[in-house]
Amino acid sequence: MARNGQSGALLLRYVLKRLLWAAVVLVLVSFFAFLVIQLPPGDFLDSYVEQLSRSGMGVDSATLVALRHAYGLDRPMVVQYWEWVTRFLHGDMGVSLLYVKKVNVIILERLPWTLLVTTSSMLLMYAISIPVGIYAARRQYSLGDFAASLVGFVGMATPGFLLALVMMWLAYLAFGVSLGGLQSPQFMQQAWSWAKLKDLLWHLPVPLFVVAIAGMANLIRTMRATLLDELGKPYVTTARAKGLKEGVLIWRYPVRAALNPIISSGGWLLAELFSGETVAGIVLGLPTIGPVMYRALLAEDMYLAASCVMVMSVLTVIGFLVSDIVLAFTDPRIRLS
Amino acid sequence: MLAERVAAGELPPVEQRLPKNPFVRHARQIGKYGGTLYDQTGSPGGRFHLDGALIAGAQETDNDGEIIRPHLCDRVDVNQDYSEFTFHIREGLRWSDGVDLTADDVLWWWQHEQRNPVIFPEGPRTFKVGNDYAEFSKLDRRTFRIKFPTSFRPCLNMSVSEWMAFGSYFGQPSHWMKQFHADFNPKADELARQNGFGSWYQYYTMMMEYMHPHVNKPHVGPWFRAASTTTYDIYERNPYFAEVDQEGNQLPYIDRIYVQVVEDQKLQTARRATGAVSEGLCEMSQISVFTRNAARADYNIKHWRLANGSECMFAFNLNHKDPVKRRIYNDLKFRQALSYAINRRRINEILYFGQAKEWQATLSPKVSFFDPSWLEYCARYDQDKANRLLDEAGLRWDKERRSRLGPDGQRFVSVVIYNQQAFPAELLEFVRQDWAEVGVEVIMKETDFRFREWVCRAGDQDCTCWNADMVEEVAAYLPWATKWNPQEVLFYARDWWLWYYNSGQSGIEPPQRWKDQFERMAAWYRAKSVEEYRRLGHAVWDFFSRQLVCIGTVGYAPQPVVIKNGLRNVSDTLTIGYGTVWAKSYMVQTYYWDFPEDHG
Repeated sequence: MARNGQSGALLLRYVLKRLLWAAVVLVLVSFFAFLVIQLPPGDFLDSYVEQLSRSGMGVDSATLVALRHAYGLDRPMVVQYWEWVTRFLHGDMGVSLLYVKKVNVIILERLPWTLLVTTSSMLLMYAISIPVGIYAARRQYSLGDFAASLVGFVGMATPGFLLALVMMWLAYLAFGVSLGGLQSPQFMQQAWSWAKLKDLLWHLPVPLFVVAIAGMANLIRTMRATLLDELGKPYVTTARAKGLKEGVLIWRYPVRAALNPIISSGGWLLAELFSGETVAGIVLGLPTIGPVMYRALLAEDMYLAASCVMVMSVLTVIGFLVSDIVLAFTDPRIRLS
Repeated sequence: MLAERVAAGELPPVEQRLPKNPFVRHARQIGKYGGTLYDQTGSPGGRFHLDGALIAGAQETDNDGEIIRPHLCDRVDVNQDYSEFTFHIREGLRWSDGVDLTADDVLWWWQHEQRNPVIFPEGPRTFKVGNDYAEFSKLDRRTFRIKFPTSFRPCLNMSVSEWMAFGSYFGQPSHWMKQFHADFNPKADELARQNGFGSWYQYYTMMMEYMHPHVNKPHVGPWFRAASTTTYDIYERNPYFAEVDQEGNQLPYIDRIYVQVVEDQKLQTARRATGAVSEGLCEMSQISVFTRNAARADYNIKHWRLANGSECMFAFNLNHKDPVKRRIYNDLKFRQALSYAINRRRINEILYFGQAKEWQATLSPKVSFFDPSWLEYCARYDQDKANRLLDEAGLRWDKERRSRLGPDGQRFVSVVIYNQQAFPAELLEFVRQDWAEVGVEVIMKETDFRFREWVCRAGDQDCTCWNADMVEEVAAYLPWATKWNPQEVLFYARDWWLWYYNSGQSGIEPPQRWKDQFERMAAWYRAKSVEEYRRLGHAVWDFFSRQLVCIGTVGYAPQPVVIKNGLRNVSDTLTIGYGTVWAKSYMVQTYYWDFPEDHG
């Protein structure tokens, strides 16, 4: 009982420490996010004027100076940062000059899709790579092992945008799935229905696979390597000598041990998924945060860009936190050190 | 769509929605109501293929940009010396929310928006001659007058669309805009803050947009924006649109335009090639992909033309800071030689299947004061002549006869900066090769859109290029809108222009012939009669052409267009471009679907 209490306190201290660090990281990230967005010369109005003149409409410099003042773009960066942070903490992410909408509205519209795509890709990634990794370790140097490695490496080496284009095109040729987005245009304005859900399910596989495959090779290799390590250990030999069934043996002991590195890498996997989602999102025209962030960065729409970066960072930090805590649960050694 | 709303009592019947004498648009075939047009845009609220169709102005121009005729105003009276323009708004013309559009809307726009010192601290840019603004006055409920201190014929050209007036005097529904204006709504600041803006004029400035009006902003064009998300916009038919077809049916026929935001250019192309848009322009280089997919994606391809006098024209910096380059670039023989050196046939055959025109960059041949000799001027491919002219300009070959040296004996290399993705890279490469063959070394440098502008504004470029649009009669007369304008876009004579504009206070004094040209241009805009307009117009453009400030390649390039099968009343032949406001000239309001229910 006493041991348990001590362990619980340790776990609590560990979680609190992690939370504190997460907060510090977020403050730093917010500052750098804002700084980086301000680094390129010019501001939103420059890119706004660029867009206007691309389409043939002109804006004179006097109007520009006036606009810049009106939007407070001529104030020092620190002042703009402070204003943004205080508003952000009050739940007001400012306004996007590009969309002429509140940033909150934009994020809310897009966040559910981002979560849908990233979490389902993550699940897909685990669902494929863990069994494949186990198979490859148990049948080391078999044809299946080589095939798994080959597919994994090709997936890792192929740029996501290229894969996305090719797969999207194939999906169109084979199944007539409309290009771009997660829904066909005619369903966009309609309420949810069976047909709309079916349409969504037809559009999902390509983005999920594209986002998932980039990290899959890594996971397969990690799973395979750690499991091989474990399989060579004496306790496995002992268990085998005692006549434990191979299936039960593998799943109950070495696989559990081999999963730890996979769990601990969950945090950065999330970061990778978000960046993968950004690339796939742009190429596939997904209604996720990635393309909005990209567009906002290009247009130097700073409140929107900074808010997107922050939201992604918060999600990533939460991912790290969760994987740390899960790891602390599954591997007590972590808590103590 | 509207019939149901009339039946439900939400909308008055069509006779009460139309003006007393609506504009009659001749539709090729009488259409069926209903359906949706699908389109796409690269950025939220940004340009899309069909967006020109959303605009309606006081007057309009025909597809060739030759004539100006009344549209939402049924009459425009002009006084003897073109200084007073009296516009008569159609009786019973309404905004898309049913409120009357009157002279008060126009006056309100001028007095409380354009002349408002908070919104435009430096004053509006438009309706200005010299330092003086036009005077707007209301004669009666539906008549207003614009009076200039001197003759100003371009006012007529500016009235053909809001776009060309650099602002909109037909686009601001005062009854709606008042809610954002602090002079009319004491709570305007609060409203702005609720929507995330710091103060009323920030919010107001954002709501000013007239080409892609904000959600539910009253509009006069055929469609208004009814919904907007971060992934798509929906434009819905304006129940009060003031046009009917020849049988009296109200236009437009099609209920909705759905615009999907598609960030990626390649995805946009792929979507067009798979029939995701109802009508769209095809990239010439991808034409085989489009033709191969036509049957499967259920579209047909029509062959239109681009209204660019030249797909790409080069302008050397006549005010270059380096004395050697300045001397050479200013030598007409150098510019003539480079024009002779371009093999326009090769560019045309390889890039445009021989369908483009191998002409010098100049105005459209349909312009009233056009001189056919402008097309031919130095447009023939003649390497010998080019070499001779370059010798005379003082550019001698080096010892190995690889390239030419400057008068100072140094290598003479010029850098052409151009916008990313604006031109086919092959075209620029062909020109580079052609010039290299006569010994003139250039480097074609692709740059960021903004970078190019910065460099040129600073006058640091050797040479830059652009396409020659705004070459129609109506467009070419818009004050300073032409690409030959020395102080914008190509910036080939920035310092001379500054000197003239600031009466010698800054810039560099231009040679006499350029001073004369600037005077001629100013006089042209103040022409008091059609004869004077034509005489001066000819003189202005004759100078530009003979000076060869812009060296053209090929013009009026073919532009294949994909059109979904079943979409009717689409022109088989059109020449389209910026000068006629793109889709405004397609007459999209007369488009209809054979089976509207299939395109919901």
